[in-house]
Amino acid sequence: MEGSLYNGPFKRKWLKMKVVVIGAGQVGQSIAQALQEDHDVVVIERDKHQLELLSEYDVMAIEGNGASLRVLEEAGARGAHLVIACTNIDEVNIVACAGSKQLGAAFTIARVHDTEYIETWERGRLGVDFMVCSELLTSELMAQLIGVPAAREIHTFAEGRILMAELLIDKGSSWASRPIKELELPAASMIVSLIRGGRVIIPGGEDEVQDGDLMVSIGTPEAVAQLNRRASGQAPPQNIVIIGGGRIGYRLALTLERQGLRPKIIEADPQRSRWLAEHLTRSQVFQSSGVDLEFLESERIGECEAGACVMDKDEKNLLSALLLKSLGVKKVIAGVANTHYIKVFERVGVDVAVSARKVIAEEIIRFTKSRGAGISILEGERAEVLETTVSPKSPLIGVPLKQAPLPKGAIVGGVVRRKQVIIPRGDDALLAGDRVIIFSTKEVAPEIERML
Amino acid sequence: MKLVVDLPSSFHLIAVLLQWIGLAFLLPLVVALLYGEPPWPWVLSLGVTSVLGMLLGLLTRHSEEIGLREAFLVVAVGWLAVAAVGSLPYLSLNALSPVGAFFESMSGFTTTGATVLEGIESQPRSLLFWRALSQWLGGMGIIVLAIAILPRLAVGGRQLLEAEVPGLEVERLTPHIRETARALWKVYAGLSAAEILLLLSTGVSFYEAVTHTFTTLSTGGFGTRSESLQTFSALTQWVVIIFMLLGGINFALLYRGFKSRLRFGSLLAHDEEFRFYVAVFASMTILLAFVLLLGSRSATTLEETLRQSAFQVASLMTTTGYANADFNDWDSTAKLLLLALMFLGGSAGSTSGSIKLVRTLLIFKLMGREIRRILHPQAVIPIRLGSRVISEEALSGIMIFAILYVTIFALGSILLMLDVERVGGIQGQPLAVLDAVSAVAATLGNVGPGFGVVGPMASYAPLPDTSKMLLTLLMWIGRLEIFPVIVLLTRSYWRG
Repeated sequence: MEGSLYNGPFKRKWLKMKVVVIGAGQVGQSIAQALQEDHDVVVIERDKHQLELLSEYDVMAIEGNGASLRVLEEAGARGAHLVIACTNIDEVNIVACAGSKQLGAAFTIARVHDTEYIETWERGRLGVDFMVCSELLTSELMAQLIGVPAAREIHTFAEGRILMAELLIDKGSSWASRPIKELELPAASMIVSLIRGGRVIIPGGEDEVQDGDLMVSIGTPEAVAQLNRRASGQAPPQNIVIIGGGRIGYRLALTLERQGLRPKIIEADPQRSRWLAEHLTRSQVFQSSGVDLEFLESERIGECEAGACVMDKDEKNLLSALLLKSLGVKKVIAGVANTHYIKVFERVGVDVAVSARKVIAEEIIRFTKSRGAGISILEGERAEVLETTVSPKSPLIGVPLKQAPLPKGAIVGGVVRRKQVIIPRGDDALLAGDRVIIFSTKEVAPEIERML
Repeated sequence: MKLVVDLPSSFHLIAVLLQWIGLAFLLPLVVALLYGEPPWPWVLSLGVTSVLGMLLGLLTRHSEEIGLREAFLVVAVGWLAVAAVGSLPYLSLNALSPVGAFFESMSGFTTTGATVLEGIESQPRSLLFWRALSQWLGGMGIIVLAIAILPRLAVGGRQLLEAEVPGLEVERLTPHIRETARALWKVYAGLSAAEILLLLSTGVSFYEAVTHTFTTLSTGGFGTRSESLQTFSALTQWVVIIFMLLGGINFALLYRGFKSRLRFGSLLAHDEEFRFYVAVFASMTILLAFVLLLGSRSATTLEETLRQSAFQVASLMTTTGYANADFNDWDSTAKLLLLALMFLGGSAGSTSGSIKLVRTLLIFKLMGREIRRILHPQAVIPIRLGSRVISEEALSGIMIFAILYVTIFALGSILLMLDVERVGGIQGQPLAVLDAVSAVAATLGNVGPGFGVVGPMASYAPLPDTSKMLLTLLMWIGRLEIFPVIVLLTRSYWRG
């Protein structure tokens, strides 16, 4: 998972909004950093020390309790376009959203840890327009990365009905050194680009896929899984080990259990491991540290096809991830708090490093875009994927895609039309109201946005 | 040092209990009048009990607060007191000696069904009715009954209830403990009415239908004939099998089932203890049927073999203690199988006694866990019952219960053998080991009959009085599931 969220697309001029952020923790800071240039951002924080950290950003900082109406009013929640409550306390976030809504805020986002609040929210809105849970998002992303062994990055679109995956083509792949037109692609999938040595290539049919390429492909989740199998020869793993039974580890185990798997989960704390064993019905829980070599060997952890290291310290995750790799685990994912470590982790041999902070900030920042567009950034901002709705004025409407005036470097990867997912071919045409997922290189991205 | 148990208020509750239980004598009084039997023993018993209750009530004082210590005392002594006044009719009718009367009464209220009464058919009908009624009253638990009826126990009742049904948490069906007790009694009374009607429809007389219903659902086992159920029709026996099995199911489960008629099947299917109960009953019935077919003494038809097998398995597993065949004549393999059944018991929250299946099931799971831990020393494996995780404290309580149970069984067997040897055997014959252990297992587990001299068609009468006292004690300990009795024997219970 490479690339930074905090520059790039947000430098462009969007509608200027009044944004109130409650909580200046890691997530709050990331959001403030991302939005400061284009929007009026006010941050509410209780803790003086945290508040001081904000001085490096161009935002207004207010000391106080974000769940208090008086403080919210002072921060201007009354006329705010967007209120983002991302303190560490779920209840404060929900109350802050409800209070802002009462004052007349247009859109509220609450971050929660406890997924039960999401279930409650789905029934009674509680004054929250959108609720995000970083543990849930991160664990779902990790589960997807585990389920597609060759994937080094996965982005989700259209509520999970379309995936975009970067699949690593390595030496063992039968697809290496073969021209793209010869590859047997599943029907509901397409290859939109190749990433070779950090460069984004829009390949033609004659171009060969090379060993070490990242093949960027779009398709339904089933098609991507099939594509993975054909390209890498690797089946989805059955034996999975999770090191660290914190909130993400627990959620990940739960997600894997729902897929019918029985992951092993290793947690050092006796009380927490007992709690895990009581709450996970199919997983096997072990009380041990992730770096106890004797234990890992006696339980044959090296025979697992995939592993996720999600303890609370980056260094521990790195150590145990490398240990798992050396024991023979084929694909190892590590959780990382410090986003600067992402590249370091992947350089020293961790297959994928995932930052929960980045995942949630990305999810929240999606909502700052006009027309509900979502953007995912690939490969150090050299390309992006835009998810948006086709406006009735777009010049692309009604023209078969192969004749459409799309600039080179832009590919329509998926269309959701009346709840149906279409992976379009050259003869297909867009209609007004279609939700489209478009891949484009950095150069042509602004042009594409104008056309839609 | 100062006593920390509030004796006056504990005994006040027992006094109230006695006053109410005295009213139960009104029913056999009616029976006596109907059949032209002398009514005065019942008037006397009623009078004595009421006076005792009132005197005790005057000597003690009522307290709103009932603590944990008091609850244990009330339950343990309450059962002794109720058994004591329950023996008055046997004494006033001159049917039994004081020791025998107390044995018979304790056997009644604890739903054991072991008898020292001989020549059953010649006994007054009102007395046999009282014997059956005492089992019906004791079956659901006299404390449960008291909570359902007595307004004063509405608040402190929970602790009393947990003292009477220890080991496992009492399921609260409703927010009020009193309504829970009433709900349980409603199920109990409803099933009783159903059994009476079904027995009548199979041609049993009204008197026998009522008395046998009283002792089937309570898993008691007292009958009105010395051959137990042997002389009843096959159809009647099948009805009794079904109701013995119903008596061995958790009444809270039955209540929830009746409440939600549509989900009855799925409710039962999702209850792990119930599934285990059905599985044990079915497999033991088939096993015993094979043993009977292979053995020298087989029944005439396959239906009879199956019926005998199912009947004995249901009877001994639910700790009823009826017999539809003299299993004393069966071979040793069959007898050992029956002895093993006496240790099982029905579900928790049923009227049955003994160790109870849920404990057996959890102990099996514990064994499985230990084996898995040998291979995976660092695995964390909680024990679940259905989807519920059982706490480690509860599990160790269950293991300790099982160990105590077996220890008391072993000690009791040795003491019984010694005592019989002391008086020079029974009619000059030494007591066989199997007979001795069966007598102890049958009384401690509230089953009733054992083998040999204490077989299903015989009685405990030939045993010396000291042995009867020992077995009476075992019935009491068994019914209260050991802990309330053991607790009373500790120093820390009496002193802070």
